[in-house]
Amino acid sequence: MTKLEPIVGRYTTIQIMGNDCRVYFEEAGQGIPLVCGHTAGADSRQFRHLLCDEEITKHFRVLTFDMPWHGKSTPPVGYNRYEYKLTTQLYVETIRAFCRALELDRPVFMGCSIGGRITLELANSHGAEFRALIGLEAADHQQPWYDTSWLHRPDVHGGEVCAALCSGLVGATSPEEYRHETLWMYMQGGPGVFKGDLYFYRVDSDLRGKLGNIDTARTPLYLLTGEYDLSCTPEDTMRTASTIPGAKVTIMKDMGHFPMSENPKRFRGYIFPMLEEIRQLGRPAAKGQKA
Amino acid sequence: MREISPGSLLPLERELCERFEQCLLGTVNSDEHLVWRGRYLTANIVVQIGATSFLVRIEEGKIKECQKGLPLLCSTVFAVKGTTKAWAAFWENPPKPKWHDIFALTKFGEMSIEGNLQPFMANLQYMKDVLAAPRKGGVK
Repeated sequence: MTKLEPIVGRYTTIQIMGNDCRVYFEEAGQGIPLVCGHTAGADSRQFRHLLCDEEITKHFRVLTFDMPWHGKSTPPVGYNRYEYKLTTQLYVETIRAFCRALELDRPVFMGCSIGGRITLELANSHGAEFRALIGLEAADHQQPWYDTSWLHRPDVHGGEVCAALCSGLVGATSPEEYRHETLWMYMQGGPGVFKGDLYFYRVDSDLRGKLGNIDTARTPLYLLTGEYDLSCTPEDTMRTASTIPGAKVTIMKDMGHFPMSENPKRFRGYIFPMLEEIRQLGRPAAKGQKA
Repeated sequence: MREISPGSLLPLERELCERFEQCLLGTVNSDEHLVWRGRYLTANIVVQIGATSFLVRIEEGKIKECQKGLPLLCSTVFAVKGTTKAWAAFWENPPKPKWHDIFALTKFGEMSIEGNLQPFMANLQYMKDVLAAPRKGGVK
C-alpha cells in the first residue's frame, strides 16, 4: 500500500456571528493544540509540512482550517447576494468559534500575513484564551503596494493576477517547487476572496497605538518575518514589536511572506525552537525552580 | 528619433542598456512557454533604464523589436521606468531583499509603472518574467 500522510481532514459546521458555516479543517498529532491560520486568499494547505513533521506532532496537536469562502470551506448561505469583506470582528470570531467548536484548551495560535495581523488583535483583546501566539509576517500596519481593485474585475483573470502579485512576496532563493506550489493556491481562490480578505488588512485593522492590553508575561508573543517580505517588511514588524513589551522578534533570512509553504525546511529551523520553548512553558517546574 | 550618444551615458547605465538590448529578444523568444503565456499580448511598450528609453514591440508574446530611443510621436500602451540602481539590483542573481521584484521597487520609489495598466496586469507574470530576462539563469 502507498504511504499515507498523517494529515486527517474533516468537516464541521460552526456558527460564526449568527451564520452556520461548513468548515473544512485538517489535523495531525497530539498534545498542545496549535491552530494555524492561512494567509489572505489562500487556504490551509500552506501548513501541510508542519502537519507532517513528526518531531512537532508528537507534542502538538496541529490543526489548520480553511476560513469560510476559502479552500474546501463553503461561504455562508446567501453569499451570492453581497460582496465578501473580512472585518476584524468577523475574523476574530471565526478563529474563536473554531477553537470553541473543537473544545481546544488554551491553544497556541499561529497565523501568517492577515493571520499575523489578527494574532496581534487576539493578543490584545483575547490573550487569556491562548497559551502562546505566533505572528508570521505580522505588523500593526503596513503601507499598501498596489491597488486591490485589480484583484476582482472581468478583464483581468483573478487567479492569475493574485498569483503574479504574490510571486514577488516569495523569497528569491526559495525552492522553485515550493514557490510554485504556494502560488498555485493563489490561482485557486474564489473570485473576490483575496480582495475581500484585504479589506481587513487595508481598511479595517490599523492597530497602531491600539495594542496596549497585550500581556506577554501571561501569553508569550512571537513575531517572525522574512527579509524578502515587501508587504510586511522586517521594519514593519520591528516597529510593531517595539511597542509591545516582551514581544520576541525574529527576522528570517532568505525568506519571504509565506515561510511555512515557500521554504518549509528553512522555516522549521526557525519555528521548532519556539515551539519547544512554548512546550517547556506547560511543564511543571522542577523542585527549586519557579514555574 | 531622439539621438543618444553612447558617450553621454554613465558607465553603469550603458552596461545595463547593452545587457537589456542584447538579451531581451533571444532570452524571451527562445522560451517557448514564456511566449505561450504572453500569447494574448500585442503592444508597444516603453522600458526606461535610468535616462535611456527603449521601445519594445511585443506581438503575441514574442519580442519583435527592442529599439533604443523613442521615435517621435510613437504610441505606446504602458511604460516601466526604473532608476539605474533599480535595474542593476533587480538583475542581480539572486537579487537582494527589497530589490527583487518590480512592486518592491515601485513601493520603495525606485521604479514607476505608467499608462494603461490593464494589459500589464492581465499579463502580469509574463511581464515580470520578460523584465527579469537579463537576470540570466536567475529566479523569476
